[in-house]
Amino acid sequence: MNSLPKRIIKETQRLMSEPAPGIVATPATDNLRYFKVTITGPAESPFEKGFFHLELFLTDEYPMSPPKVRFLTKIYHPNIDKLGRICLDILKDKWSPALQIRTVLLSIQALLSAPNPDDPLANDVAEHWKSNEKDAIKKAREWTELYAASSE
Amino acid sequence: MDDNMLAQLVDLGFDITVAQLALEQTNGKGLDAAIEFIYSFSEPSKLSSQKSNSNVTPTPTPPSSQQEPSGIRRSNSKNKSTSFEPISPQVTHKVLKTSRKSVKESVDSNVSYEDNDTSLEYNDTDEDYDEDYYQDVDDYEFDIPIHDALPKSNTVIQASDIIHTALKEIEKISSITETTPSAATILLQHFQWNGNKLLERFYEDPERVITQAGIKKINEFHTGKNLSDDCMICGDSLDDSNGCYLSCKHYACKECWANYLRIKIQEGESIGICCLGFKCPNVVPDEFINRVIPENYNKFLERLAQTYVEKNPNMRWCPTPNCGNALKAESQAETTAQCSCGFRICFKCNQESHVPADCAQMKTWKKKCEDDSETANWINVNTQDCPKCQSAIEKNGGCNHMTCKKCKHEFCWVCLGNWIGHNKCNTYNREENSNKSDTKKQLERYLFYFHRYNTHEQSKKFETKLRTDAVNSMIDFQNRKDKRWIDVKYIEQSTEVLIQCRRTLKYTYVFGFYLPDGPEKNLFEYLQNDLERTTEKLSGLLEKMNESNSMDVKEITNLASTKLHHLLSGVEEGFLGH
Ligand SMILES: [Zn+2]
Ligand SMILES: [Zn+2]
Ligand SMILES: [Zn+2]
Ligand SMILES: [Zn+2]
Ligand SMILES: [Zn+2]
Ligand SMILES: [Zn+2]
Repeated sequence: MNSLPKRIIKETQRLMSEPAPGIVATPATDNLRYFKVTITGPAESPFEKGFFHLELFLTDEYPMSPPKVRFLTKIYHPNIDKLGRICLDILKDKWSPALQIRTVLLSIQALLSAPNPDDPLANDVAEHWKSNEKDAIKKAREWTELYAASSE
Repeated sequence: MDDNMLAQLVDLGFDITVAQLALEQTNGKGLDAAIEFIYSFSEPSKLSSQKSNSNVTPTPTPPSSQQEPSGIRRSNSKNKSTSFEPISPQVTHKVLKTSRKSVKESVDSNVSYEDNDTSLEYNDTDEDYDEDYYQDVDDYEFDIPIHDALPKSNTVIQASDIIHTALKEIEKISSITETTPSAATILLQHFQWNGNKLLERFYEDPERVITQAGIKKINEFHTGKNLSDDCMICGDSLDDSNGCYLSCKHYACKECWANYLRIKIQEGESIGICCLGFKCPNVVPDEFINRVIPENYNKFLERLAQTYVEKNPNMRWCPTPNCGNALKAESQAETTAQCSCGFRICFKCNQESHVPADCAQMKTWKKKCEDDSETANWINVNTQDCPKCQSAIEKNGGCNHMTCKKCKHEFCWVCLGNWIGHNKCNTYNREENSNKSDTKKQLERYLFYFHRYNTHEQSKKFETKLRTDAVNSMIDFQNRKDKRWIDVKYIEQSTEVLIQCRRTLKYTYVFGFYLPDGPEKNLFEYLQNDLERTTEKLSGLLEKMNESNSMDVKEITNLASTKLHHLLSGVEEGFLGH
């Protein structure tokens, strides 16, 4: 493996020393490009009180290419599919090397507060969200209780 | 005299004096007879015999200059946009003059050809040649009308000149608008490389034009000096040697900029790459890109050439494989342009120029040819048996007037009929096939047209080679002293006319296929047949071009050019007038 770029070291140091509220990101001991992430469900969202585990990987091209991020915890959300993949523009064509791990994770947190069924990844969930938002939110809450109860 | 017929003849592009004469001479036997008369008159061979009995056949009075203007050539006046390959409007008139001059006079015409060549060059370089020019020339015994049919040099941009032309355009806009070259490029892209329109709008409201083109700020770029921040990408500290930033001050090191730009270019962005700051709208100037990644410069130029041609609605790549030239329509009204490689393109459908057929007809026709490709397969042969002695004859030239090497029988390659008295080869005979079933009739009719369409295409291929040889011999000529430049030049021009006739003939069979029966079609087929005969004659002459037949080549080239013009203007104006 290439030696770790100065930027990744700096970012990691900052993530540890001044963590963003509701976000914990820890690099794996054997691979400093691989992060275990936990995002706490934002208040007043159907994901409130849930602990959502994600994995984040910085490829060799980072920061020229976006990090690869995926939910490990099951979640009922129109922009996140069964495999945990996330539909977020900055993770694709809107990526800029000026963005950082921190900004990416904050954006994902924001996506939990404001699902966007008009730009869906999970079509059936989005359909549900659009046709009966109340019912969809109820189901998202159930899933949160069911799958996202553990902080570990 | 029938005024109606007279009007029709004039509409067809004949000189009024000649038309009057023809009607008188044919004693009201009808339009066809009158046209036949005019044509036989302009045929050089008949001409000389007519000359010898000039007391019997009166020579038509040359049209005087007072008779010329207004009405006569109204159909060809330049304010009417024509979709045809440009052929001199004066063609009819000139050729009749030429014929009268006859071969005898042409012997001492060395000087006049020199003169013509000067005019040729004058016209080539004269971009907006106008009516006045014609008026001047009209007073001379000017007998090479074909120059108008030749591609104008300013419609072709040679592959090696494209980048240069694009850069020149950028430089011009950049200096007038006082913007950086990259901003000028973006502006030009925004206006589809229409520099005049750009400047017009720019003078009205420069701010607005710049915003609309997506240039938020015209970027200067800076390197090094007083950078306290680290590179926002790699985190390395910046110093005078590696720091770069645009006016937005998103600091990064040279290496990170280079990485970033390489990725963007790989992803296919070429012009208008934004700064690496998140959502920063500042466009990275080309000068900056070339500074940061110098090895990219050639690719950058390639892409520039590509966008220059492809974003410009008046430009196309020449579709000939390995040609690489770009073709430019001279104006919005112009729908075709010709490449120096000989290919002529239709700007509307990007296929070979297909006058007189229109794009829609071509689409239907091509579809039909695809559907029936198996049935038509047999047509693609270059060997047939002599209809008289049955020995196999291979065709290795464009001319369809065949002579059997063995028995000297002359026949038509297309219909295998005897060449002597050969006529109406182009007319599908409905009656002859009337006892067949409808499907069979339809198929035979299609094959009749396809066969001719295909034969002309095959001939064109052979003749394109003739043209290439002519061009090569022009290059060769510079090392030789036994030929005069003008003679060699003339061969090139004649082959050019020949190819134009071929191409047009090819597509007349598409046009004819969709033209309903009736008097209009009869006249069309008359002119088509006429052009076909002259074309075969020209082709035959050019195949065995030598010193002794060069005058004939010149005559027949003029004639072919005239007939091409008659046919095309007939199609455009409608054959029977409206
Ligand atoms: Zn910027
Ligand atoms: Zn850097
Ligand atoms: Zn070409
Ligand atoms: Zn077309
Ligand atoms: Zn024979
Ligand atoms: Zn024939």
